[in-house]
Amino acid sequence: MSIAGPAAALDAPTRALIVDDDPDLRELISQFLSNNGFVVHTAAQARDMDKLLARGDIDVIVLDYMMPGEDGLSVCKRLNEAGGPPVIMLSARGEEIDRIVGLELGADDYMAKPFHPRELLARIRAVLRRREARAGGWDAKSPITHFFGWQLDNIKRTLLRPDGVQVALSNAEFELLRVFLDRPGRALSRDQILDYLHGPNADSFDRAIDVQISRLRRKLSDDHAEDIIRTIRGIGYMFKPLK
Amino acid sequence: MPQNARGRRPLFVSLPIFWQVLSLSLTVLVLALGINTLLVLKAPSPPPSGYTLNEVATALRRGEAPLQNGHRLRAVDKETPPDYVTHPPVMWPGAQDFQTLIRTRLAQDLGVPADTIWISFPPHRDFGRRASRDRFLFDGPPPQHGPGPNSGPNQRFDPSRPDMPGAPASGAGGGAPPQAGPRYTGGPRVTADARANIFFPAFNVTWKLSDGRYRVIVAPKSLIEPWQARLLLGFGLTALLILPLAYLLSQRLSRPITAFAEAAAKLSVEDSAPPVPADGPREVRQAAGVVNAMQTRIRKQIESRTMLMGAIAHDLKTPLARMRLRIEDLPAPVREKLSQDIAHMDGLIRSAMSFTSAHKLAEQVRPLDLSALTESLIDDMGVVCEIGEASLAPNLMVMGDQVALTRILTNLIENAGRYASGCRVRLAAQGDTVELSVLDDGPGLPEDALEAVFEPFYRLETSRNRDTGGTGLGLSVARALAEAQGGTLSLRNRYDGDRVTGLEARLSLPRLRPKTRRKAAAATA
Repeated sequence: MSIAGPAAALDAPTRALIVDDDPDLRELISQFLSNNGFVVHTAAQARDMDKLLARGDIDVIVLDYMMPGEDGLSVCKRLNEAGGPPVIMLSARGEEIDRIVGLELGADDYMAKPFHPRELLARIRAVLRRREARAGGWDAKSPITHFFGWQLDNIKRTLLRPDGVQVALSNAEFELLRVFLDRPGRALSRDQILDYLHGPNADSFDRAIDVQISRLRRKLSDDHAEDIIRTIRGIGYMFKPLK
Repeated sequence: MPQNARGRRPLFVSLPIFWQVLSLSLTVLVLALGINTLLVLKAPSPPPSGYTLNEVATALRRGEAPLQNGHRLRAVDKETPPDYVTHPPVMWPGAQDFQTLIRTRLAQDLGVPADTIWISFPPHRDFGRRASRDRFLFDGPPPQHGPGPNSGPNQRFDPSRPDMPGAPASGAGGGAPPQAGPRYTGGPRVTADARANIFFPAFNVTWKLSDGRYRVIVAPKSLIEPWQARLLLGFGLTALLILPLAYLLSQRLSRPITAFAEAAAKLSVEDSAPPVPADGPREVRQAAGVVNAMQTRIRKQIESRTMLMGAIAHDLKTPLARMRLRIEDLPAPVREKLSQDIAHMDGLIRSAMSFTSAHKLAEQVRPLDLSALTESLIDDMGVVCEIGEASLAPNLMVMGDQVALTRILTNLIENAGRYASGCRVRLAAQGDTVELSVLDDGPGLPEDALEAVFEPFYRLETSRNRDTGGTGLGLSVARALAEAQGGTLSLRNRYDGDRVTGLEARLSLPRLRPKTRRKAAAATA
């Protein structure tokens, strides 16, 4: 097992707070995260959590959905409104609708129990990375992005056409559209797009991007003559500037 | 409030069915009797069905005569006499008297001898003994024997006087029997005036003309007598008046029952359907109360079942999560095996939960592009499962839920991957439905299993299914979700001649026409 702890990439060790009413699970997660370089605090319920949060140095919270007293959803909503640390919600309710509700109430991510421990690790990192990126601009938490009459639901990962019809996006298409939406009016080369999608070290094929983009274009095709994603000869692609 | 509502309800409709039906029957009965009684008592008497002697005489003289009942009495000249002239039928005594009377008087009226006149009564007419005496002839004082001093005006009518002109001395047609004679002799009230008003039941007359021909009046045969017509009119009037009334009342009676049935039918389909309205007759209100109570019980049961499922899921998933964390330190081969077991249990719990909550879906459908959804899904699933070249019609809209549709398709594609190592997806519009087919080249299914596999936990071969890791709920969940969105899901074998070449899972959904797009958008906005 060679999982590099986030501490390697960050200056100080990452502090995680685990809030769960099940003592065994709390202990197990805590142990697992400690083994992977986190400094872990635990709380059995919302009140204990608030005391720990008062310290002010918690970087991420792993929150159980169902707890005695104040439940996870309400805690999550409260934290989100107060601008607290990112939250990953754990839930025994694996239904898609529960996931959506959790995300809409401001959870940064949502995982159904039982989860793969390494996946939890990956999600925590992703959430932290996103939080970093957000400091620079786009608010990743906004559930809906509007552009030219279209709406992109960042939680359900679907497009809403100007006439109200829902258009599904594959994961790849969603990520691609996100890359474009974050950088409207900028010409992007294929390499740049791949970097934004998979991180700088990934190696994917150029052509796969072209296929994805042509599909995305087809879904974005509208009565308007003008393309939302334009091909820039010799460079790559450009998303139509937002007004 | 219910008290108020009951107060405002029309009285008749809220009465028990028993009383409604009883009162309806009584009303109809009373009305029918009343109408006919009124008709009998108040209506003018029907026109006479026979004719007077004057009318007959006129007809014989002129060939035809108008009758008081609106018909015309016609006489026809013939070369040969009718049968009753040549072969006089045998008559009962009263009728003979009567016959003689009529002959004599007609002969007098026409001024011819009585033996040139023949009378015959049609069969089946009311010429009984009683009729001949009581109804048609006399209501005067008792007959007197012999010509009285005051019988002057009456004399020429006396049929039994041999000395009278035209008297049936020789008795053509039977003649007057001796014992009958005295009865008629003294009828003082039978005057010429009265004759005009006495109606005789229709009879046949033949008059031998001077040129040897016979003038014949045949009793007109009418289908129904005026009194019968009057009775039938009464029936008709009754029916005419009662039918609309009975129709209206019956409709009012059946309306609450129909409404009840409709509301009850909705209950079984929709979870959120309003309770059956407690309106109408008492019996219907009682039934509605019972059904509503039952519905509440069922709903509670479903709720508690869902809650139970949720509780079980929660209480199972937390230990599963613990197990998943605990096995992290185990050697890789053991960990992988245990991890698979945990994943299988997790899948089972998830399927059971979606199966119990599928009915909630119908509330959250919205217009969506099924073509785009299918394409994205194939894109995403291509990593997991072999998906062959697809033929997808673009821009097919349906009312549906993206999560549910994704779930259905995922289940179907995973099944194909499990049993046939790959599949092709086809999407096409068929009239007003959109058909989404997942086709595989696997072994297919036995015909009797094509429907049975949709039963929860139905297993074709236990061993095989365990190996491939199915939960036994995939198709049940898929079908429950499809039906919650107004669609259908079915399986059929694909054939090449007689050989099964694979399986087709077909999802049909009602198509949303592009022209209704704007409206749909407005509805969801």
